[in-house]
Amino acid sequence: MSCHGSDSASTLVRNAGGLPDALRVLLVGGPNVGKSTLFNALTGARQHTTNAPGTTVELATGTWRTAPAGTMHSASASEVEPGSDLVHERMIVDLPGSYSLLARSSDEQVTADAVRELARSLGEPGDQQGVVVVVLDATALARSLYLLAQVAETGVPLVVALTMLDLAATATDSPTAAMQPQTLAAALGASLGVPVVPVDARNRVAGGMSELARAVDEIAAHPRTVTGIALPTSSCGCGTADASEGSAADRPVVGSVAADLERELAHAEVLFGWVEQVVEQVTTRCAPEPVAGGRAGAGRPGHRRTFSDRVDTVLLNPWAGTPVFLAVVWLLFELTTRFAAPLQGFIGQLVDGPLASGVTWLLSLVGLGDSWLQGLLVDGLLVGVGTVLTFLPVMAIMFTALGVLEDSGYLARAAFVADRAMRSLGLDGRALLPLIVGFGCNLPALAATRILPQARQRLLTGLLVPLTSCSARLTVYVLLASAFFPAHAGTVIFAMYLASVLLVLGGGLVLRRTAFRDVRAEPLILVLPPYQRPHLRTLGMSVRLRVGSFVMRAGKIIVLTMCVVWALMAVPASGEHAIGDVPVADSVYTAVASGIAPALVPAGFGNDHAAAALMTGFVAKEVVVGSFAQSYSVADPGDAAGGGGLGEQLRASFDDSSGGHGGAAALAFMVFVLAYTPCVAALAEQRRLFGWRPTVSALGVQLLAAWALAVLVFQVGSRL
Amino acid sequence: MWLTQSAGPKSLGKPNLTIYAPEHDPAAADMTLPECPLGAELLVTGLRLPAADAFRLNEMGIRLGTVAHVTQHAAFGGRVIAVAGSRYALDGGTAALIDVEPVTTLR
Repeated sequence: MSCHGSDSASTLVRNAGGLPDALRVLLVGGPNVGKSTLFNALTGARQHTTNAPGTTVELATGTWRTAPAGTMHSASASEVEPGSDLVHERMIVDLPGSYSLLARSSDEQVTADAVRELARSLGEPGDQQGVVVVVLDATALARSLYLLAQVAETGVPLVVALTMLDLAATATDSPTAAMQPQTLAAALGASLGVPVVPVDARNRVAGGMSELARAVDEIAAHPRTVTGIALPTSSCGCGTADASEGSAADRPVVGSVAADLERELAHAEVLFGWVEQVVEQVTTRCAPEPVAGGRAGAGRPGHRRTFSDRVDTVLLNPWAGTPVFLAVVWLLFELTTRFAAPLQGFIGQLVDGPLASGVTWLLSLVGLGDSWLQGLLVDGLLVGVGTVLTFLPVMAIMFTALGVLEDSGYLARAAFVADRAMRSLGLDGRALLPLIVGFGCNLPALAATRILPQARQRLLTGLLVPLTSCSARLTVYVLLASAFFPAHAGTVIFAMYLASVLLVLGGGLVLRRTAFRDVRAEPLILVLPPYQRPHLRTLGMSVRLRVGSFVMRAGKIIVLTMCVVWALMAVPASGEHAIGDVPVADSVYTAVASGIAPALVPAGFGNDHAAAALMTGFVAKEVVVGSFAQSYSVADPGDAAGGGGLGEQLRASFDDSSGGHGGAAALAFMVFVLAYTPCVAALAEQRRLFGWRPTVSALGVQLLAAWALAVLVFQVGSRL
Repeated sequence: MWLTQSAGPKSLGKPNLTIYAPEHDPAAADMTLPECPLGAELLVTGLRLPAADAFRLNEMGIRLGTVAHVTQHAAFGGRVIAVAGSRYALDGGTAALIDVEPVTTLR
């Protein structure tokens, strides 16, 4: 890592927000300090999420719009109409939460690089102005001040936003216990020499938003940084006043900490000393009598059990903690499946019924009834839109539930409780939550990976989620188990779920030893935030933005894929048919399935019916049964075990393609269904979260693994 | 600050470093964090973690001389400690590598 930062950081700092002349503002702070809540309050709906260039680290960028200094009266000024001469726009980036600029993860690396790049670029002639807003947690001042010191060392102009003041005011055992917000901010400002603005992002009118805007503009006009911190001597921030130390942003990052620990510790000790000095100054200024103590942790009020401590005696209890965690996961599972199902059904019926009829009627009015265009619009586009819409309740419920868990403070406890279970995969305990939810539906489970603090862990979990057997696959298991193993159908279905768990564990271990060697089981050192009541407006805004992101980014891919599937079915490959009026057997779709079937021969189900069903299953597993019924022309697919129905035809077909080992072929087919891509919606969500490259790579690996496992199962099973 | 090589088993591919305060008496019988009773007030006297992990603990506010309280015993040796108003959750393995002394013995 050069001292000039990475290209991705440069791109991030210069381009995010798309406002070439606007002031750049970087929001920097530790995890759970209220940084994202502040960002939402400052930007409102004028924000979007994107991955940091070249990474899978998700960032939120937006426009912070206010009336210019001197005319601002309240945060409502941020809602001035765009284009007005009174509007003052800033480009703001919500950087990943970080405890230190000596990064230990790709997320922290993005933050460190962005600060470094801003510091470097500020010295360039004609470059944009930039300010860093460091968000300090008033309940954990010492920890926040350490990060502030590192940022200040880079020489960037900075402003401090002081959060969690309501909790600090009622705290009993922190150095800032019972201090009044304005008093604490004034004392900090006097010690730091930069503006310190107390903010309450949940209160947009009197929460300090306007004051923060004024402070940022003032610092941009008259740049200065924290007093008492050694500044870089060169404009690029590559040197320091004391060359023997150097700032955190100048030093190399991941992997180098152990190499030069003594030097790092020596420098950190200087910063710790400064932090303790500031804390002591602040407590002295705010308290009637100076509080003695020089060491961290000393000089504070005596320890008293807080409300959170009392709650934790239950939620983190060695015996009660795990059942409570499992109950929470079960509730999530129920919400995203049983509770969402009626809503999904209603939307599905609305799209398939009145909406489809309406479009058909309109087309017939303009003379396009029964045309290929009607097929494309109703059976392609509308089906795609309907698919996206039916997933909206699931996604909204999942995002709301996760927001409640996160804002309440329980999610950090969940990570602690489940840590042991996920340690063998090198994952944070929170990874257990999406993996369990995946057994209901993979789509919200993928969305739930956002709760993991590190991008690499999110990606690894996101690659494992498709291996969890969602409820849609159950329909396939029930059909085939009933048809081939009527006396042991329950056992076979149970075995498929067991196989899913083994696939997740096996897949995780393989990935950790190959593409994810950098993901290791790190010691769990987790700050537990105090329990809080979630703020409904903030929660609602977060859910709206995330659902919107799903619709705009994943939805487009889903709709496009549905149109492609329609085209494959609408274009004739044989016979005399018009486009859009083709029997499935004569369509390109079936021709493609026939081309795939030979590859499935080693797995025992190398027939056109099975190949076509697997192709349909790529779109959604729910329709595999329907595809079988359609290709065998069966009216009632539910009668799998009965004679003359789908079950008999399946047995005949699988027996034929497997040389008389239909049972083994059916098992192999179920394993294939378990291991390959769950559905196009999950694929689109993976693309939204992780980008094209990991998604396409995972798709290829899943198909290969599914084929290999199916072949293995059939070859072994047919010999027993 | 003294840094010494440790013979500890949890190297995780990186050198284990034991960080002790200058006044630390290696012969003294320190306790480890999991051995402390609930509610105990203690002083951190040694971090026998891999270097990078010990450093991160330092950055997060758990350093030599830090005074802490044990607020929760969790499953598998996990501990929650209170330091300057914050609550830190540590897994059992990490907690076992943190040496502490009851504060009362220092007074």
